[in-house]
Amino acid sequence: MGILPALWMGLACSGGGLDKDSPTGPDGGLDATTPPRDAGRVVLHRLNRTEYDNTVRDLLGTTSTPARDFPTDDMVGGWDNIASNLSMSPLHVELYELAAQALAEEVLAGPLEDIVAIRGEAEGADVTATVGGPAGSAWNLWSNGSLSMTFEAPVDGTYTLSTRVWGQQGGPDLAGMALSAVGVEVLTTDVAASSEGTAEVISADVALTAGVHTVQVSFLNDYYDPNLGEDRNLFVDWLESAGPIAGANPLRDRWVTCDAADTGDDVCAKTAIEALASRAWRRPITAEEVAGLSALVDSVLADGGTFDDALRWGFVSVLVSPNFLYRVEIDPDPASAEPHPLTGYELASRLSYFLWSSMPDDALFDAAARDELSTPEQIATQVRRMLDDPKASALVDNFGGQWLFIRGLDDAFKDPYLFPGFDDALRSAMKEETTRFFSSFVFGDRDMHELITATEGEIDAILADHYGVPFSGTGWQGVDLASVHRGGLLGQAGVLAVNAYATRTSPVIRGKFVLGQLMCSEPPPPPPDIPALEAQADAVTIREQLEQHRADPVCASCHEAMDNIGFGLENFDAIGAWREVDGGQPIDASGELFDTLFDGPQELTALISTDPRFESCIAEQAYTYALGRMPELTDGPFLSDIEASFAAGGFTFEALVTAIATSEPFTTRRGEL
Amino acid sequence: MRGWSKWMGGPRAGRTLSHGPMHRTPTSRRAFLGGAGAVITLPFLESVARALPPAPPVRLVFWFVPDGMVMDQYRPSGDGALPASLPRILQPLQGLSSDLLVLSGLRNEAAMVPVAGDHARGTGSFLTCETVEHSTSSIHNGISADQVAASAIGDQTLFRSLELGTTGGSSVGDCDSGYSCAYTRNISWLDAETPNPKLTDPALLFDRMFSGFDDQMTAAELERRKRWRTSVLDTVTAEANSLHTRLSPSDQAKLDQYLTGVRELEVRVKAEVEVCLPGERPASGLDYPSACRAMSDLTVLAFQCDLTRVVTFMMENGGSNRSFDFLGINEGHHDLSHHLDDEGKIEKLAQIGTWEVGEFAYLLDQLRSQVDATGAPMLESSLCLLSSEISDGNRHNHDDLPVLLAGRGGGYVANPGRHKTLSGAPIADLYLAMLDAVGVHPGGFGIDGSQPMDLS
Repeated sequence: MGILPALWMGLACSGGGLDKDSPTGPDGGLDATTPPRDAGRVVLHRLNRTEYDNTVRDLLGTTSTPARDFPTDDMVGGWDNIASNLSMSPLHVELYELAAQALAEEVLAGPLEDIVAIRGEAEGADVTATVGGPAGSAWNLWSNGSLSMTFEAPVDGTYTLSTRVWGQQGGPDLAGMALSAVGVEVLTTDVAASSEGTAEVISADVALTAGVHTVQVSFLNDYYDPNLGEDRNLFVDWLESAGPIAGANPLRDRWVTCDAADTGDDVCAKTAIEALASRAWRRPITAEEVAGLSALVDSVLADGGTFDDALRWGFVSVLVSPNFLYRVEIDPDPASAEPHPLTGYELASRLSYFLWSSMPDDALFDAAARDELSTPEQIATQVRRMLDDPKASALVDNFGGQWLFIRGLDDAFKDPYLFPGFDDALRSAMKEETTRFFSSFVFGDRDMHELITATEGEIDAILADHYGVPFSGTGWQGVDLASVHRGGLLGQAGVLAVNAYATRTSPVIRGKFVLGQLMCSEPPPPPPDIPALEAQADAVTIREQLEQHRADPVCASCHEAMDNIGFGLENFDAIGAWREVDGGQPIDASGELFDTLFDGPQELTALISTDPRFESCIAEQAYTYALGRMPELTDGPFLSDIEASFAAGGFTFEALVTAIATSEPFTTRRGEL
Repeated sequence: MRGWSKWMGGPRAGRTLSHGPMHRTPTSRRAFLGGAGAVITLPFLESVARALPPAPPVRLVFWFVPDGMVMDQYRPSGDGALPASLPRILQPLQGLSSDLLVLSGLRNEAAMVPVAGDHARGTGSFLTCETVEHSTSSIHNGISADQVAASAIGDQTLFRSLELGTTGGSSVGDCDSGYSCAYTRNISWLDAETPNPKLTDPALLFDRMFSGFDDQMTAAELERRKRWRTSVLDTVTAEANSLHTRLSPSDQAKLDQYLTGVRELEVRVKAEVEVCLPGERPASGLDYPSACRAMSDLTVLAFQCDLTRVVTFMMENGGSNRSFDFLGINEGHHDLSHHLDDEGKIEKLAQIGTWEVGEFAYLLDQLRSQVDATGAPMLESSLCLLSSEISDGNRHNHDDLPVLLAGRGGGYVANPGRHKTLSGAPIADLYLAMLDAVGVHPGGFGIDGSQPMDLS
């Protein structure tokens, strides 16, 4: 990475980086050939898998994720959204067509008929109790507490919660109970029944979105008087969720708003399909396109198709169209290299795919229609609004996930004999930690230097145990991490684990991560025909082994740079746990970053955070992701401007995103000579 | 849960779509299709008759295994008839050695570029024998041998070729030394710019292979659905053509890939016929060894039903770092392959290689024991290649590649059961021979293929 990786060659890995204020690079040798100002161009961009799934979610309201079955997107530079590398094979087209059929089917499905019912026996394994104990085929809630189970609602809709209960009555009141879903009480009632023989079934309806939810029955008014021998308890036989209750299909209602009985099948079908197309294609559709879709409707109807058939194949056509599958941007003169502003609709899509990995929403479409995306202020207003939207979590998953390797945790593998603690719970806690951490920048106004320097972080009990931090209670809590030598990304177990082997640490890999991902100064790949390294019996620690490695001058120049950074993190083992000893020797965590010596992770992070390359690199990474193309030499001047605005804005993520979103490469395009 | 069944709307699964249940009523006409002795019904259609040539067609299989081989535990000593006891890594092929040609000394010149990235280059050029472009702003390779075959004979089957694999690829970082991940993840290339990606979920592949079925629909309804799908493809083609005129050349090149895909789909939609009945749909979410087995089973099924005659399979992506924990090997494959002459690592690598060859043996055994629609065992009519992007993982060399060729290609390989060393011969010439066996004669191939290799 780095916009001028080739410069490393000239530098022989002596530790220089890029200086984008002068596009000539640090050796200054390119002054005479300073390139003309060129904002570049992004080639026709196929929606990648994430963008496809998010787009159909926002367009149709579906929760299905058809793109999970599409071929993996071609990646380059660690990014899966680089337009030049996103190719389209016949297999893609075939799967797009099948996905479109399935989506159309889902949208057009009539009232729901099938009911999903889950019943959990209160004393069974699927139901969790906060208190009480089993009592025959029931559960005795002997003090205030609850029983809960999870339930997956297949679609948005209304569901019925039921429970079979009776009370062991005592004291002045009847046993009181509540039914809740998603933590909200749906029904509170007294239970009159006093024995299993007279048990009551209590039910309530609740609206649930598609997804996994917790449903709960609670005992509210425990009573116990040992003197009188009176005890009030709630006995629960089972807990059930069933649904959805028959009703309209909200997906259909969104796009089929006319009544064919009033307008005729053809008019209503064409209206719905045009409406869908003008959203799905992220711009108003042309008369020619309307005519094409109308002809399709007519041919289906003429062939004996029903109203729904016409809708179905019209919808399929919209979703298989190149106007849907690609983010189309038009050059008025394809042969002119003169930049021109994007249309409002094109810019709306650039913004939405940058910030949300999805299509524009109504507000963006409206802004585009009113030509209110043409000034930097208007764009900044949208950016602010969009960053407040939960959909901006796409930046965490996709930008952060790829930049900071968070995604790598999903398939990280550790030797189970060496690292028995690395189970799925720890893996997800690691991922959650870095995800929460990066979210605090996306959704907050933190100075992004804190990515490296933060001394506090959010952890849960699993990570507290892993880090050796005192912890009480449950959930995620903000704690001070400096006392356990952590803070910022380079103290997070997930980042440390992803940048390590299955069996041991790798200062090389960690150094490469720091140089490549955080400093945009990754050294070139190793030369070919590396002389084979003989395993050395006397090299005990990783440091000793690598020092022998670097005795070879061919390897030394670059490995000096990488290894010396990675040594600073040697106190963290391959799953990010703290250690003082490696191979029986005390850890030596001293190293060197760009010719400055340091000792230990805190000193290393201080050096990184104060190096201007770090700020530049944050900007360059976001710029690459935002544009969906790899930066070139000609991007240097634009990046310099963006960095200046980033700095002026206090290094917040919003300042950076705004600077990128208002930059010339983001707001213009050009043809090609 | 993955696969079409989920796509079809969950609780209100689509009944009118093509992926209906496979438990259809047997028709009056039956044919024996092997399948471990099982009788599979075969509805008679004109197109079936067309699909069944008088003699078994020649089929090509290209298997890719990553990270090379432990050559001295793989290579038979001396040329000529294979020894009664094969070297360790080839042991799983013991019972198949009469159908096996072990070829040594072959090289892939295109991968030999003196910069880092041997896994990307070796995998990208594995079947193209073209040097892949090292760039972050474009991808460039050549057409692969399987696609040369598919272009020539693919119109005789529902699928011109099938591309199988086991994994999409890792989710972060660079794939290899700045090369696009397209190179380490794809051995099949439609043309210089278009990788031909693989399906990695056996259940999804099964659904795709048999997507023409729907026992809920009458023949007339199926025909009508075909017409409507065709109309949709005509509509989007018109949209693409209109768009095409307004784009710059590099955008047009992207859109051309789409237009090619739509054209191919249209041909298939029109041709969709019920050729033969599938066996069991593989389960979703299989573990790696089970998925490899399922892919072999589906390869055999595709040949039995004559759905295609060209299959590529990537057991893993180039430079794979898979941990073979089911073999008790927890280190990554690629990490191990840089073995530095460490005995322990070499032993584990040899175990992995033996396992891979064992999976290949499973495929060959199925092809040998099962018959196709003409009633002939299929190994006889097939040519199955296994090789890797490099030879020795510690050296990253692209010469002296491990190459196995199994089957007789309908008599093209007259005298297998031998080890043959052809020092310095281009592997491209072997591909020309495999193409020759299916009657395709492109002249040259890749940067160094000039004539079909003499396999006698």
